[in-house]
Amino acid sequence: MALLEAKGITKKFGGLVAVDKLSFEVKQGEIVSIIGPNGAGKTTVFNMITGIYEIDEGEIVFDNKVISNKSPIYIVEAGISRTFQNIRLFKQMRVIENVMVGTHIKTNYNFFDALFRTKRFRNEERKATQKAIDILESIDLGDYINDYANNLPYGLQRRLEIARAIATGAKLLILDEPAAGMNPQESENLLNFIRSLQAKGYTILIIEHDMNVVMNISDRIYVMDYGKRIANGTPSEIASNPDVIKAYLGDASEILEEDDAV
Amino acid sequence: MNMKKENKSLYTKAVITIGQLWENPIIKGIILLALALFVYFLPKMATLYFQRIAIMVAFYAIGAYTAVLLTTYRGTNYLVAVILGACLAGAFGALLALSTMRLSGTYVTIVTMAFFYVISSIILNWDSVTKGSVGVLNIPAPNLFGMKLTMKNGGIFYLIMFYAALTILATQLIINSKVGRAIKAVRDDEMAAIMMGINNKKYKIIAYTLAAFFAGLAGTLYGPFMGYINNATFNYDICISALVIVILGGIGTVKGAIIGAIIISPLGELLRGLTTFMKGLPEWMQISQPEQWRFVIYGMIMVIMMRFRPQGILGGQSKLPYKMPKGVERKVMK
Ligand SMILES: Nc1ncnc2c1ncn2[C@@H]1O[C@H](COP(=O)(O)OP(=O)(O)O)[C@@H](O)[C@H]1O
Ligand SMILES: [Mg+2]
Repeated sequence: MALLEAKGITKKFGGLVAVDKLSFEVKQGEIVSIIGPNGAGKTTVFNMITGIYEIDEGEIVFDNKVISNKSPIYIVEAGISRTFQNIRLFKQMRVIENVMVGTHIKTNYNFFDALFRTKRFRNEERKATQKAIDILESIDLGDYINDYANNLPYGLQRRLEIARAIATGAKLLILDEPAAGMNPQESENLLNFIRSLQAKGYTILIIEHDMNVVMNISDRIYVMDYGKRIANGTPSEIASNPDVIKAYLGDASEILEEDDAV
Repeated sequence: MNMKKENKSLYTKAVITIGQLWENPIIKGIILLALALFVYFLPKMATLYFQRIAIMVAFYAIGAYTAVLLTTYRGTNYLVAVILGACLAGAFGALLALSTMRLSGTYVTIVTMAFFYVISSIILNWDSVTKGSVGVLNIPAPNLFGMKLTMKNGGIFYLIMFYAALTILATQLIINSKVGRAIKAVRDDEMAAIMMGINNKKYKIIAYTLAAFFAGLAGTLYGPFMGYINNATFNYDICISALVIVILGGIGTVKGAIIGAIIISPLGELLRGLTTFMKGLPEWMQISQPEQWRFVIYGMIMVIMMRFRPQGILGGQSKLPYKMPKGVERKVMK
């Protein structure tokens, strides 16, 4: 039984079919990668899963619930949380506050509890703070809790984004190019970190350009080109697939570029 | 208040003396402070400070007129009038949030500026209710539980201090909660906030409503303090003072707003004091209406702050550690 299943999903932007009848699934506890040349439609798939874009055709099912065309808030509450290709932290907030924003949906008190500092407020706030600290310590950001997000080095900002996603209580983390802009040492650390998340029971869907990361970490890989799925399989199957090699060699220069989607 | 002079404690006397000495700047300062504080709560929807402040002044006017018209012409209890004034302003805040929700960028600017002009023209032109440019005269002193709070007995001064304390306390309580964090998150990155499960629309409405409520509350003070209000009370002048306060003190900090208000508010009075001083100077050095020169100082402050310290004196990132609630533990100790 798949945790996440996309059934023939399509997204059109005017005449452009960015994602074309794509199907894939992610099983509980897996690390699955989506790769493909720039502009293949990978980020668009993430935006469809997280409810930023409405989908034109098909259906997405998560944890036995249909989540396609539901609100982003519904989808987060269902247990999916993401990071962005271009880091989107709350820059003028502290590291710990960023993670505490992640605990928002799990923190149960209302405006008046806050105004009158009720017992419920104090308990919930203590729980949220503790959770944020525990997550940050587990992710080696414990020394940075007081810093402001925009002062962190790049690699740590990426990590903070993941910490924030975890704080929502998500079961499925979807990471859009987490290794982008990292040096080999940083991406090595990231690799180990993502593995440790899998060991803790998280299911992970990841878009990545760094082939070293993809080949080392993925249980299965889907390859997209022009919005379509052109291959899927284990890392070794993908590495020897002629279609994949063609798609990649054809666009070899582009793969190295950064793109600027959401 | 039936306080006899000889019964006044030394403390009360001191407070009243200071109050009378500084009455104008301090009271205006506190009103501006309340305005400036809540500018912070308005998310990026209104990107420019000035425009945010203009709508705050509009809310402020709504609060002021509601309270003043009720107490002066209807004899409504002061407390009731204050609550109605603040709530009506809050309701307008929610309305404005709703009406700008689906707009972006330039259109938000247009709608918010239009809101300021609409409120100003209603005040000027709805003669039968607002008394237009003549304004409302003889506004009664606030009457709280049978006590008349006037400038003379210092009551109004205490009342204003109470308002300021209330505003600062409420701001702090809200900022340091999930509500405040959500508002800040929406302000910093709306898309990322939505991805954290934050209802961006709800928190924009909360932010606008709060800002409008407290601006309205501040407004309800102005009438009884001045004794009269008219359409000219809520003009660009006050928008600009509030703007300078937040730019000087630092946007987004309570302390910054207080410091800014303390520095900026007495400026007009101090400059007016120059009139006497200038009498001794040769004629060519004399300036009529020296208090008008505060705008020159405002301009200089803005240019200097923007150039050297855009985050304001106390704005920007705090150097203090994050204040943890009681009972939170760090497992890994450095
Ligand atoms: N909001 C949008 N409006 C119009 N076109 C878009 C939008 N988002 C993405 N696209 C287009 O869809 C295609 C796929 O983009 P994207 O999903 O970002 O690719 P990838 O992440 O695989 O590099 C690109 O051609 C891109 O220009
Ligand atoms: Mg992309």
